[in-house]
Amino acid sequence: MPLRKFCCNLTVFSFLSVVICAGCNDSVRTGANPSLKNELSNGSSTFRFEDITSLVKLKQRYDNGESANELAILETIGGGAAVIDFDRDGYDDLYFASGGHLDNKAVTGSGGALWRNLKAKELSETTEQARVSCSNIYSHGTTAGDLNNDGFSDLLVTGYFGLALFINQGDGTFWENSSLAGFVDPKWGTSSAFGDFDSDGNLDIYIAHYVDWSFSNHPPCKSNGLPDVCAPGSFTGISDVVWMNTGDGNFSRRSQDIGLAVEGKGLGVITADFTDDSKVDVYVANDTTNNFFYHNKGGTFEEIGLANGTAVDDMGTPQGSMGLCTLDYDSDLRLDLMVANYENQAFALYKNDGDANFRYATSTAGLMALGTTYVAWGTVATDLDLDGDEDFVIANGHVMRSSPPEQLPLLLQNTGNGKFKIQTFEEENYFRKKWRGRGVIAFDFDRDGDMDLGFTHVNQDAVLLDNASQSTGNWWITELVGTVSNRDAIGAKLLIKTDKRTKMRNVVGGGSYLSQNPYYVHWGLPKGEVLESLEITWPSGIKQVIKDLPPRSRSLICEPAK
Amino acid sequence: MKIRSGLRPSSKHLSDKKQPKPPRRSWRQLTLIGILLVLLMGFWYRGGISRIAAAQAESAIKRWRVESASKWLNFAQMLGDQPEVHFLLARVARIDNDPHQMRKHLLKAHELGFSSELLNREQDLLRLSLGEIDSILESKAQHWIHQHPPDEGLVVDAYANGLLAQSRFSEAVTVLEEYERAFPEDPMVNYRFGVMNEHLRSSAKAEEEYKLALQKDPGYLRAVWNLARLKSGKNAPQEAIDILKPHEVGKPALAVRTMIAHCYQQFGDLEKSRELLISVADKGFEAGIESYRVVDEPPERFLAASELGVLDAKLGNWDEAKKYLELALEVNPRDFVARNAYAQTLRRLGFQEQAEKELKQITEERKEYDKITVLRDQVSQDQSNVDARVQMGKILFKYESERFGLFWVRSALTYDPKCNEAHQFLGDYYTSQAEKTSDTAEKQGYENKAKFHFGQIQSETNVVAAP
Repeated sequence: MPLRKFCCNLTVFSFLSVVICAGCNDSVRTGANPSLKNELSNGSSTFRFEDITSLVKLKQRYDNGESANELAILETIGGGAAVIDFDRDGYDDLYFASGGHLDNKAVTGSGGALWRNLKAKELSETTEQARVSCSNIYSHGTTAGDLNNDGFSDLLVTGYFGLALFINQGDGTFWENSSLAGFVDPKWGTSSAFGDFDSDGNLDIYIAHYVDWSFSNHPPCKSNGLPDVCAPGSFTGISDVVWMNTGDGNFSRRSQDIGLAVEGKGLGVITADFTDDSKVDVYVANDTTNNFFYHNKGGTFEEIGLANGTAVDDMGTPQGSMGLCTLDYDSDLRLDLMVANYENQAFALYKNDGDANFRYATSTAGLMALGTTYVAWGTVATDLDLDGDEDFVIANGHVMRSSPPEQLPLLLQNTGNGKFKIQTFEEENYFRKKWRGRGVIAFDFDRDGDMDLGFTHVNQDAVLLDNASQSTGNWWITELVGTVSNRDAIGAKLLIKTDKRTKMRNVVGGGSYLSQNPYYVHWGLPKGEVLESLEITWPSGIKQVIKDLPPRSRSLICEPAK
Repeated sequence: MKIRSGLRPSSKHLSDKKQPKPPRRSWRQLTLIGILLVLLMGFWYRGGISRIAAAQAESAIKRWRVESASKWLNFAQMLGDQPEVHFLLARVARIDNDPHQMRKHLLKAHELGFSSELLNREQDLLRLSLGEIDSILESKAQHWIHQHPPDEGLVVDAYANGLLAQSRFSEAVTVLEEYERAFPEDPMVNYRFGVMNEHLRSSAKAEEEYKLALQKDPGYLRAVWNLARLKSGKNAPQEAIDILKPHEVGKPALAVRTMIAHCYQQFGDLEKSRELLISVADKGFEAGIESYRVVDEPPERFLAASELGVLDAKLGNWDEAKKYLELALEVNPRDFVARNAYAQTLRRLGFQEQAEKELKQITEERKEYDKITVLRDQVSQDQSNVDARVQMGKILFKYESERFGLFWVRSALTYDPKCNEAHQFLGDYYTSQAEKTSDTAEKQGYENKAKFHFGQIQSETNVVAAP
């Protein structure tokens, strides 16, 4: 029997593995549970996605440098993408992190690439022209937002060799402003998110740091008896930082002095007003340590993750957390939180009960049925079928050499009763193939009113999917322009009242994984449901009600003066 | 023909004719029945029926039908106190991981004059299975196995488990394989291989072994349990339920129902899960202990109450959650899962101060507990890292599980028999156990163990001091 041979070559044994990992999965993939599969196979998916990557000439690949065979933890992180309409032509452009190399025990960067959307017919790479290459950075994350309130989105790239901040000049080019703005961070940055933490109308920046790995701290590690990438437990976490925007083009570095926790192994970060107090809170997904929930107390934070139920899973255990998104899955007009976790850990859906209290709702929402075989990264919640509620898209892919690196991505339909159903697709569809997924973004690439999807992978080309789902529903896209509040209106809360119900959306910063979705808000409603009004609570606290929004329309809404 | 067909002639015949003499044959039959009755009474008086029951029980034990054996033995006990019955009850208790009951029956068997050699052997088997294997016990075990006794399977099971507890996996494999060659139909071998594979984090192989065990014997409970647990862990709750359902009655019922309830949660059927958990939790912790022992998983937590409390917290039934979580924490204050949900529950019920206290405790404990990840990696990289083993054991012992904590500390002695820190820890542990028990024999046993471990420290000091 194979076991017996294995026993004789025993190297890694632990009784603890039974304690901790009893019933865990190994390399065998079971996928969704059989009853769920049966249920799904009886009905065809209402979703259709067409891969238009080649059609629009997108050719973008994240190289993690694994060909050097260093088995460095740096290889595992991958890279994301940001949606940024940098030329303000109304079509979303894309910026991708490109990774780097690890040859000769040296980390070198590949920076990133900017792809200009030519009226949805083609994507054209304009990295050099726009001066956003940052090739000194082994890049992971990218975020976009209007940091100087000039109407043009700026760009931030995070990675192993620090940061690169690109200020949009408004003429199709950027100015690399990091060192001038005092914006120097040599630590290993992963995800970042913008948000006006001190409510001064300027976007500040939260940067998640990972661990203290370097080639001088690169222990040999094994998995299943073979050399493999080290687990995060082999390293010490690094404290995150906040860069407070002083409004004059400079930033001041803050950390524990404004309440940030010590250490943490940050991979994902999202900024949103979870507590309905018009202050943007921050949630950080940490790898194997408690996740942080920073309650904004007005420019300073109180970390209350453990107290409010969002730091750990229902068993009180910290997870290998990576991807994040917010949504109101149960339509109770409170902003819930979804966290994508490592293998053998369920997705964590935290239901917002108000007063900054959350409840672990994975099982009540039917997400336990997804199983724990996925190493889940980027996650977005958006209404893909225009039925009024937000669905999930999740990118998956393994990190260990001892496991198959490619995994199936997931699309979960919100059934409207607070539960989710996994969708199946025909052969050859993107969702039927296994990928080394990392980032995922949802945006209206072709301005047809439905949300398209972009995926980033490790050592595989990025993929762009056109949403070709047949839906009779209506849609609205509302882009907010802050005047008193930050220009991107991060932290705004939007309520639409229809003849049947009230729905909520929020403008959030960061999220997914190492990525940035657009700040505009997309709504879908089933045919026949009439939108009566839109109520906006701006981050400044100003309320605004808009009526007569025609269906299937885009609106640019400016914040009224106080 | 008529006479043959009925002993009683009709009344008409009686009145009309002269009464016939009773047939000689009837007298003979009556005499025979009388003799039989006398013999039977003698047999009863001499414990014959008990012996039949005991033989049935012994045969059931060999086939790992422990519950059936218990039934036979309970029946036998009703017929009187027989030393052999108590010996077998002790054996059943040992297999069911109940050393206290085992000791009780061994003492009784001893009082009734049962063979001291066999009683000592049974105690040795317990020590073997707990991994308390020294050179003398080891040679005894090997000698027994070479003799191929009628209970060879039990010896091999105990020895293999002990080797596993000492992390001596390849030796355990050899012992089991040898036995398997002689007894290819015994499901125990596959069960033990399954357990070993789980230790190896190879759950697919473990699953295969458990399935093989069940092919050989579909009623082999320990494999039923472990296979269902793996299925549930692999997000196949329906398969787990199908495996467990036939065992929802009898000794394992409460454990089985708790796991089925967990599977319902995986389906998202929280109400059904809650209903089942209530039916188990309301019976109390003590009621469920045996059900876990028979599936080879002695409980340290009040799992049903803990799961129910966590579930009620998820459902927002805060008052109910508080009730059940308190029950769980009363049984085991180290129940980290329950404590975490309890802190949330207290907060939601407005007991802010108490919640803060709980959260503070959780944070402090977690800080310590998190070191396990690093220590485990260290052991993975270097199996002979004795210090990491001891530290991990101490943390687990303090914050999670006494059993697993002891396992890790003991495992250090496999790599360094003179590890002072491990001996000190185990010496302290057995001293505290001796203080806790009122059973004289048990106390003596703990004191002896403590003395042994403290003695090891002493001898090392002497070795160092000697030059």
